[in-house]
Amino acid sequence: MPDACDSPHQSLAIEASLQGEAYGFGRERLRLPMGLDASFGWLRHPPTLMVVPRWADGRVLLLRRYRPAVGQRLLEFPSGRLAAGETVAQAAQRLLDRLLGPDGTGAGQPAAAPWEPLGQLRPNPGYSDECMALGLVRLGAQQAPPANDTAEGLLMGDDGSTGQRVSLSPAALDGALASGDEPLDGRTLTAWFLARRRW
Amino acid sequence: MAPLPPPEPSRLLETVAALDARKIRFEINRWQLPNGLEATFGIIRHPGASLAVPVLADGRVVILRQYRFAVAARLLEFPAGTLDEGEDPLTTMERELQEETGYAASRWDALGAMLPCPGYSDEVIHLFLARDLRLLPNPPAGDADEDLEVLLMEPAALDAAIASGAEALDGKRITAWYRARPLLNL
Repeated sequence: MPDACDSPHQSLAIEASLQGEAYGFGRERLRLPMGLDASFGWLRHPPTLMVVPRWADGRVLLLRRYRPAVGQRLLEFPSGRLAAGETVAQAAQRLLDRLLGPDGTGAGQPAAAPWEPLGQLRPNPGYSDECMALGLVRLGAQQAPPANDTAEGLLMGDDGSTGQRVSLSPAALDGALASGDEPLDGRTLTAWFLARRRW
Repeated sequence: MAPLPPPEPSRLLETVAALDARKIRFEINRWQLPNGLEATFGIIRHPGASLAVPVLADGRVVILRQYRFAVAARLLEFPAGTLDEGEDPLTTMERELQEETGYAASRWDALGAMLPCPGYSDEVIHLFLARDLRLLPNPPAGDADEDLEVLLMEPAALDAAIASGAEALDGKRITAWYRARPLLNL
């Protein structure tokens, strides 16, 4: 099935724009492929990645991460923006080093296995151009999961958010996502749906 | 699993700048987080949305190939729509299903609430499974700027499309499908 658009829209005018620290928002007048002119607002977002880290014992590493935009602590895989000039695999390693570094159990340990791409996610195609690379990383048998964090956790984002490390079995993660109680992070659920098939 | 933590809203200290665009608004705000830190960052304010996985009696799913200007591509998506102010999510979904697909449903199951971009949007998407579908002889007209095609897919074909890696992944489609599959005995 085709993904590429054979008749993309045409930009007619930028009506207004606002630049935030990490991303900008603009209201733009567009001519859609169907020929209609309309004004839309959308976010210009840098490329991102989300990594599904699999421990050698089959468990998965997640974060219980505080998200100010929704005021909740969500169960998420590690994610972040790509730094300038960085490959997705390098960014994944950087994220894992941060989570399993000197204060964790990963200090001085061998690098993680290669990045196994799971696909390109459009987290919100209605109003954001963000493209998020999803991938699986299999951690080595030498790397032992840290104890689940019980305190505030690690500082994760430039928005001041923190995350607690949580290692779960696949069945426990499926159970949490199927419970109907857990707020569902669409990015994490998509990555898990794809990674689960390769477990 | 430990019990779910309760919601902990951050305290809005100041809106530094804002820009409105139709149904959404972008704000750059200064916040105080529950851990006491202060931070300034941008956020999309969104009224919320509903999405349905519509399934025919023969098991095929009703799905859309929809043009999305923000990513300049035609994505495979389930029917969905933005909540009108004060509107019940199921009411929104009943309307959007008819407008976007031409089908009406008489059996509904709630599949939970999903957060598509919790890093920079407060949008919540209410997910539903829609069954006992009937094709309307005169479906209501949808929004004029919606550019979409209605497709019928076997569940196995949808699974294959998701797994192939050949197609951009729409998070709300996959989240809803993940939640719907057990109810469909898949």
